[in-house]
Amino acid sequence: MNINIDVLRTNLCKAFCTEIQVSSKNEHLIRIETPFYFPDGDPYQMYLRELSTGGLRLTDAGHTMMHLSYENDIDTFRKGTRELLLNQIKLEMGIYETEGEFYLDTTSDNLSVQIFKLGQALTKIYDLTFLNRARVESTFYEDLEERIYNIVGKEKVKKDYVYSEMENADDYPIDYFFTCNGQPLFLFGIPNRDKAKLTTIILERLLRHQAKFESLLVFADTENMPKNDFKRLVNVGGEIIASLDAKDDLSRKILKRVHKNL
Amino acid sequence: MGLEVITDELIEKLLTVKKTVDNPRARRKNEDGNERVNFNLSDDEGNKFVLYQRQNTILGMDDDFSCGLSWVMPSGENFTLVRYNGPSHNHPNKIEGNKVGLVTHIHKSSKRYLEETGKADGYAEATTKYKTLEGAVASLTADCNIHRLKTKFDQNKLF
Repeated sequence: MNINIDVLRTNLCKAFCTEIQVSSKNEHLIRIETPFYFPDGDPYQMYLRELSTGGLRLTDAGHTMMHLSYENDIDTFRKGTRELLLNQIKLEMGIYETEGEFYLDTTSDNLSVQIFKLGQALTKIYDLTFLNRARVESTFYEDLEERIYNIVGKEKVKKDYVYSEMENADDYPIDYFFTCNGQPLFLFGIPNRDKAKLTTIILERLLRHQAKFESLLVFADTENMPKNDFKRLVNVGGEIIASLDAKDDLSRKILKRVHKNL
Repeated sequence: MGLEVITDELIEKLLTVKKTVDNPRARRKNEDGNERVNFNLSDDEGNKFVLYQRQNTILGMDDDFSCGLSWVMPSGENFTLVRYNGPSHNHPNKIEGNKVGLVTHIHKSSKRYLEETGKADGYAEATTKYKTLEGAVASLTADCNIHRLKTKFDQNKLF
């Protein structure tokens, strides 16, 4: 190997040193500038606070949660899947949280390692934003489409079908139409309560026009569906699939109506 | 409809079009170490926006605040058009390779930053238009043609 390891070590240490800057912010906090950044280019904010016990608290001083709230509803981080994931990240990374402030307690000897640990943790926390509702719903529709095409093939399904035998039919779109031996199958993807309400309206209208069909409702997550919206929909709808995790059930319910060779 | 629709012309149009606050009495929340409030806005064409205000309430973090204007895209995601920040951090402009310093600064979105960095609002410039969050909100409201929100500019102080 031609690399001079000693020179490399010296250069790396110098480079890392340059990347970390320490300065006094005010009487309460020492500012630590690091090479960690949010996607918008703003740096992670890290500070040191002296503890009455004599140690040091390395903290983000609440900035991370505030930053996340610019484009995300951070109330969702306090419930359901996101809360579980957040707690898991804190546990895995050994960081703590008090009222939106992420921190860990350290000594000056251990500070360099802890700075990288806190930086890594804040990155994982930021990545929870990929679970925001709009992105999750978009993923749900993509996943649903992929499942359907894997079950019956793209050529056997019509997407965004319109039942033309009623007025203003374009206002009542059907997510997927399957040709069957008997009555056709209409499939609706239900990622949220708004779609549940819309699908209830569509199904009621189809029934009022005495359309002949069977329906299959595929939910993203029935547990988070408000009870009344869920009840109204399943009353007018046909079979249901509670989530895309139920792959075999989805396949069974489609294939019992749709023949692969049709 | 995703980020492929973003152009500099669209950004400029959304910034300058007259916008009205639909909920001027929106409730402030004080939790998770910051005080926050979101105002919903709309224009005559039916575009929806969010004006958000954030103030860090942790001891020693008075200079950590932000207010921004986002466009609510048809997909439901929020696209930040501008963001007026406090001087708590030294923002680097990735493409230009410079830093603004520990001063108040304004982020403005652009197609260039979106394409080259993946984040449209990565560019910021230092400003002396405001010193506090209240002043930042007043500046943003005036700059972005926002109506029906009571604001107050920071007083200029002589040193």
